[in-house]
Amino acid sequence: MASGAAFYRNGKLNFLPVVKAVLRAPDKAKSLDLELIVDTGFQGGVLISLRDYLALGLNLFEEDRVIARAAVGRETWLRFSRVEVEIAGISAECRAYTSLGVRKPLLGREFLKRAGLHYEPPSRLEIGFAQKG
Amino acid sequence: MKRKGKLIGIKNFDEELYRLVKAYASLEGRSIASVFEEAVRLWLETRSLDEAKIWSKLDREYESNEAAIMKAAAEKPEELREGFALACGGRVVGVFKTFAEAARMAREVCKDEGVVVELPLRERKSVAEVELGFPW
Repeated sequence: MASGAAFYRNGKLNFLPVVKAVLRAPDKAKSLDLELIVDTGFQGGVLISLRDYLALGLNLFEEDRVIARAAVGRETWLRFSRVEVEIAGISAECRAYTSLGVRKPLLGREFLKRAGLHYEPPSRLEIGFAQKG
Repeated sequence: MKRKGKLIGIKNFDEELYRLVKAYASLEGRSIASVFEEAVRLWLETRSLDEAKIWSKLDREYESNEAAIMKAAAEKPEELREGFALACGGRVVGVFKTFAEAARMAREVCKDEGVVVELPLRERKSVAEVELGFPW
């Protein structure tokens, strides 16, 4: 359970689920503390701004480019690399995507499927119980 | 100094809109290109131009690095059989056992952009798609 690392923000927005995460480059040379919005509609690991992507140096070991399809049907190009995501002591390697104009960093299903997520606003938001059995 | 222009064609542009641009350009005694340039500049001001420039540079580097790996794989297939190939600066740096090893080398030798490709190379029929739920 990641109490403290996961919390709700703004009840008016139907309780936005937010988690505190540490992102590490695959060579462990750089890391970044970020607050990620939990987004079960996002298939990937994390979506971060180009600025954060560059700060981690992920541009130095990119894997590919893919087309992303948003809920409203809009398509956009994403570039990606690998990253280690740590939330409340639980770590998993997943893909870090970026694109132009990313304003809100997201935590997607690639991490959530390993960690597990319990969304029960307004009081309970748990992440990470799946790994602990 | 006026920069060199490029001939471009735009498909499916709104005909009525184009007529209006032409009419205003004529009234103001200026070229249609200058009207489009002004419109595009205004549009770019609403975006982060610095970010777009970095993105465009990364794209160019990515394409050159990916091409270098493809070329090396075609010319020396025995050297790019397994592991992770790293390319930057338009050339293949080497082949590494793990992604993390390739990443450590990239941090040392790559300047702007590096590509790490898992070997053996797989033929891609189309670009992969990722579902992006939240309209960020």
